[in-house]
Amino acid sequence: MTTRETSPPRPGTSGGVSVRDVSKRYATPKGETLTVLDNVSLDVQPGEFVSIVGPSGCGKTTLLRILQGLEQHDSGDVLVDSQPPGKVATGFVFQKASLFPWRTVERNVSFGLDLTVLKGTPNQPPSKAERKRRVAQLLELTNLTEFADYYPSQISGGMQQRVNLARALAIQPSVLLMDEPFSALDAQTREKLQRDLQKVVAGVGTTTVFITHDIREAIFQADRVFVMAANPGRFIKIYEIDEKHPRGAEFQQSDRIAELSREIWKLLHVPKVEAPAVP
Amino acid sequence: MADQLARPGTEGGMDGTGGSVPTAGPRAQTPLQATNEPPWVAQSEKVRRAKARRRSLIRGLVSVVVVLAAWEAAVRIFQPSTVIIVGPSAIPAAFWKLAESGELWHHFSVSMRQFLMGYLVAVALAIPLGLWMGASRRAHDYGDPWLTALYATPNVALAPLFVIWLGFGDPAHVAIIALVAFFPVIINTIDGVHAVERDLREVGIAFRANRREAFARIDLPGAMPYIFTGLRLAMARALVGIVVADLFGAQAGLGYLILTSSQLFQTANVFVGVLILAALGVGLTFGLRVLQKKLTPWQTDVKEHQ
Ligand SMILES: Nc1ncnc2c1ncn2[C@@H]1O[C@H](COP(=O)(O)OP(=O)(O)O)[C@@H](O)[C@H]1O
Ligand SMILES: [Mg+2]
Repeated sequence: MTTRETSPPRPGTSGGVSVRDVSKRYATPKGETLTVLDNVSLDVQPGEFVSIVGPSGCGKTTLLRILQGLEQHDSGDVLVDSQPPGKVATGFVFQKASLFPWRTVERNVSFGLDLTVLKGTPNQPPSKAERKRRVAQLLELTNLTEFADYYPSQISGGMQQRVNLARALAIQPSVLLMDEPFSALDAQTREKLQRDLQKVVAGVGTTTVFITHDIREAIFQADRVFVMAANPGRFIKIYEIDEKHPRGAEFQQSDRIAELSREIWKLLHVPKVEAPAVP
Repeated sequence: MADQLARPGTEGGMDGTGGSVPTAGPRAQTPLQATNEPPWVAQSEKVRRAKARRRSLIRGLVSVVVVLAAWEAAVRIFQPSTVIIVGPSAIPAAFWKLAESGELWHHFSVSMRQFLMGYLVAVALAIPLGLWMGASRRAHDYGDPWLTALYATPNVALAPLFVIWLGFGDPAHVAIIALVAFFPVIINTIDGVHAVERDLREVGIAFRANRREAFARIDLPGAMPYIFTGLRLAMARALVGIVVADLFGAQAGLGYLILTSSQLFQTANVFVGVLILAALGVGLTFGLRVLQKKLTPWQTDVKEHQ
């Protein structure tokens, strides 16, 4: 696994994510119980980038919503940045941009910055000027500077997702949770954003959990790729990706990614072969 | 829609990134009418819209002129008693006479005073209460039975009670107007808060916004378009309230003018009173629309008709 001791620690960069034997069940409309997550364990080191791939419906979103504090788990222990979920302000980017229609692009990005939860933490910009600078920097990074005064309804889906990313990064979260953030975008935009994400996240030591159904994308970003199986949702294999960050177009197009993604694809499509022998 | 607006060439040829529908307010359908339009909105589109607007205006004028002319012609041909009806041409004279004596201004100012006080009281109570009931399940549970019962009752039926309690003066009138204006505002405010997308609330939760912040930054702006619908409906009902309150006892007011004029068979004066109320309705609707455009600039499609 690649270490990132070279990158200077940032304020707020402390916590990893720890998931221990977590189970989650839902009641189906028919009144049966559906075990969505079955004794799932996952440890993400501080600053590590973990991707999770798995078939649709295997519980990836559920797991992330638990980490985000939007959903309660039935058993097991979850720590995000050494705290129960819902305590620390984590950055999150979900598939749907969910921007505030009444805020301009710039004000959407700065949404998290004036909330009281940041008061007194290192994540809060110390001054108005610093705050402005940080927002401007993120707009620059996501190529949105000239759209700062636009409303979300006036920009394209790709731009909206970039605003969403910038909004999440603005609070300089120690933990960043992403659920198929690029899946609604076309291939070209997606690859560009993947590289951007490398620049802004992998370089600075943000602990990241990144969910995707795009295997190549999972490999490209991650220090470790967790492969999930469905019914019930569980991890069946972990791959370590030994490659320095930030990764660029060269790695994106490399044979290594192609080969590994074929392997993972096979694993996902013949799940019985690799599934652990659970009695 | 997003695709159509995406400027080609931004960021290495990425454009037309369809798929995701822009999140927007309940009525933000087309980005084309926003105040700060993207520069690439086609000029021809603007011209086309301006033409369509002008055409609507002309049709409206034609409609008004034709009806007034028919009315005047009918009165001149059939020559009914002026007690029953007068032609539109008789109204300006009546208006002038009433205005000259200062009588009209007196009635108008009394009604406006009552209207403004009643309307503002209603709005000042209904918006905060509506936001509260919209955001808090508990507040909704306690308040809803009253709201449902009182909303279903024709509010004006309570008017005589107010006169008994508060006498014939302003307070009863203000109370009646406030009562009828209250319900559309509170009900629309509650609906507005409920209509805020769950995803947006979850953004608030994910960013750990506290209750007050979620309220001020998500519920309130999210409910704004609905609140304005409520304000417009309430305005129309408050104008009815002016007249109804005058019917139950008054010394002055536009409703009083209409009532006494009809009792004295001064039909032209009745029309003066009615037309002033109509003009008030149109003017206030327009004013509210301007205010809405100012306060909700992201709303690209402010509803033009109620
Ligand atoms: N609120 C819910 N109530 C009932 N079942 C749910 C709920 N949310 C998710 N599920 C079920 O849990 C399973 C996993 O869903 P999800 O976590 O969204 O999968 P993924 O993101 O991997 O596609 C699905 O079968 C889904 O139907
Ligand atoms: Mg999902």
